[in-house]
Amino acid sequence: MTDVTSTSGAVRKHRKTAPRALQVIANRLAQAIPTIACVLVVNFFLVRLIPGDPVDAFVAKAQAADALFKENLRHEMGLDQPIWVQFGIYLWKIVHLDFGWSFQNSAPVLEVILSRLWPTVLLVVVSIALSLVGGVVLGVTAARYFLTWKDRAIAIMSMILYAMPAFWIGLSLIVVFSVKLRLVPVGGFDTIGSGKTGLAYALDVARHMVLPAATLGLFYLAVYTRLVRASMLELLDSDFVRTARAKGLSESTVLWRHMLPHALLPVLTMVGVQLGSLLSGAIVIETVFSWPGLGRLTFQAALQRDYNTLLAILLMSTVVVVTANLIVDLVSAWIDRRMDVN
Amino acid sequence: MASLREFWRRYRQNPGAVLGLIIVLGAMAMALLAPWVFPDDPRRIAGAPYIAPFVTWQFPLGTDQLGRDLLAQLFYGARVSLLVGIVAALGAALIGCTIGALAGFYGGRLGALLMRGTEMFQTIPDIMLALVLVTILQASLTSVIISIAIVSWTTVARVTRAEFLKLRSQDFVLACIVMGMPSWRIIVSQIFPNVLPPIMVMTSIIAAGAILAESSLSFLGLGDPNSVSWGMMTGVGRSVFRNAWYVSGIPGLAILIAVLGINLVSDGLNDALNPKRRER
Repeated sequence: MTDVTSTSGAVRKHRKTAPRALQVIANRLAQAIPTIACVLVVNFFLVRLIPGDPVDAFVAKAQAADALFKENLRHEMGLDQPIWVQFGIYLWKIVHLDFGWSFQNSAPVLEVILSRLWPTVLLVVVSIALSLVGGVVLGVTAARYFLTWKDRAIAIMSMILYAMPAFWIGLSLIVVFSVKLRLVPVGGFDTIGSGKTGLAYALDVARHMVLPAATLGLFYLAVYTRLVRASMLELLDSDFVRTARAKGLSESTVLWRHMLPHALLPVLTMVGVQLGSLLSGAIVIETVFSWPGLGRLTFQAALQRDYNTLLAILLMSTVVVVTANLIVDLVSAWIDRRMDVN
Repeated sequence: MASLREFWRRYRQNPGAVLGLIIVLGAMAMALLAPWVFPDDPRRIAGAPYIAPFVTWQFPLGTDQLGRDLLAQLFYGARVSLLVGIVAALGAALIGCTIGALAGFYGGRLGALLMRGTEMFQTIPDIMLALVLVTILQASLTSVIISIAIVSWTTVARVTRAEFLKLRSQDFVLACIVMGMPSWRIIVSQIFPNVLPPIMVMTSIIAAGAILAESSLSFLGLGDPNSVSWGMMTGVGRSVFRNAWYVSGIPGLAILIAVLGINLVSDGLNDALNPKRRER
């Protein structure tokens, strides 16, 4: 977070001559920093909503109930200080990436989170890619065959996908593809003890990832299909489309080369906006598929009431979403220079 | 009354919306009739475990691994799922309308501040925050409803604000200001009734999302442990789904159908309330 602030200072200095992209960064940073600050405040007070204080929670876990020990611990954690001092201590720790101790994993929270980060990033990126590609193909097809049976079939399909609970899709896919057809593993990240390396290992992980990535992606496939269709239809009457058609270009050239890049802008924004929901969806899906990522960690932390871990994940996820939105804005501005960011 | 008839005439032109209405009414009937159709506790062991669906008349949908009647649980589960969906959506609508109306009517710094706050809330991962809230507030139906309402109001706030901004400068509002009507009365009695249609559509969409959110929380075992819900049933069946898919398959299907029904109804509402936007 510290380097984020320094970039903002650098941007502000050059504002007058700054190219558009830098201005976008500056604008968005001005929004991103209060968002993160807000989550910090929410996090801090959420901890105070817990019945009892962190010391009670710790003592309950450690099964030690000595009154003097509790008093010392309270002093050590600053809990006998006024609330604003406590908030200062909390901020100081966060800035130094100290999220406390995870009782459940007997390790520092940061270490636990970092060890679970990679599987979730992999899962989320693959799901987004799958649902984007599928959504574009289906959305463009629906727009091209507007109001024909193809359009209707795609609409009904996305309506149903949109209403499916993710865990249920996951369980159904496991029953069909793992239990009945035995095509892919039931869950996990890799085959334990297989000793595979290199490409063989990558293929092994890919085989494990097919079902969770498909499950996570199916809901968003519906979202992106509808969005691509709607924004393609909106463009149908615009001048540049008419011009392209008048030039005698083939229908698919008009659709894919001329209209799609414009139609993709709102989709891209949506990807950024929905990243938070996607991370939330990973909680259920990673639990169903025993995928060793942040989502499953969140679930386990919630069951074990490991508040340090839980709140750190919430904070870090928000930071990730804010950063991703920043990147999306930049890419959007780069794709369409005329786009008005505000 | 005439406008209500006109509304119904437009609504029933959409076959999907009528289907959705039938589904929603059916689910409501299940919820209301549960204690009459199944007077016994749905969590009591009623027969042999693992009876498959459509095998015996006594248990039309079969039994779970403990021998509990799946159909009876499905009826009682409808109560919890619909209750959470409706109350959480109304709560979200209340928060969203208040914030959106204030931001749209007063605009300026207050409006900017409120909308910034809304955007911030939109960035926080929704179910994750709900899960943290439920964990901290201790699992109960109330805390589940509160948590879901807290994470779902942002879209209502944005829609309400946009509509208020549109109406704020119209003649009938300006006339009220000139007449010296207090701001709160203009907001509540003049502008709000005009803004109601899109808010109703939004609220029904949120209700569908709230049912899905509740089912996720219950599936994970973080919902109210004392009540049967469709999500909880799916979660219970999860450990045996390789041999007995129907224990989690049937309640999952119920969630799918109910959410689909509500989404169809909100589509129908949208078409019937905004005849101009029909083409989309």
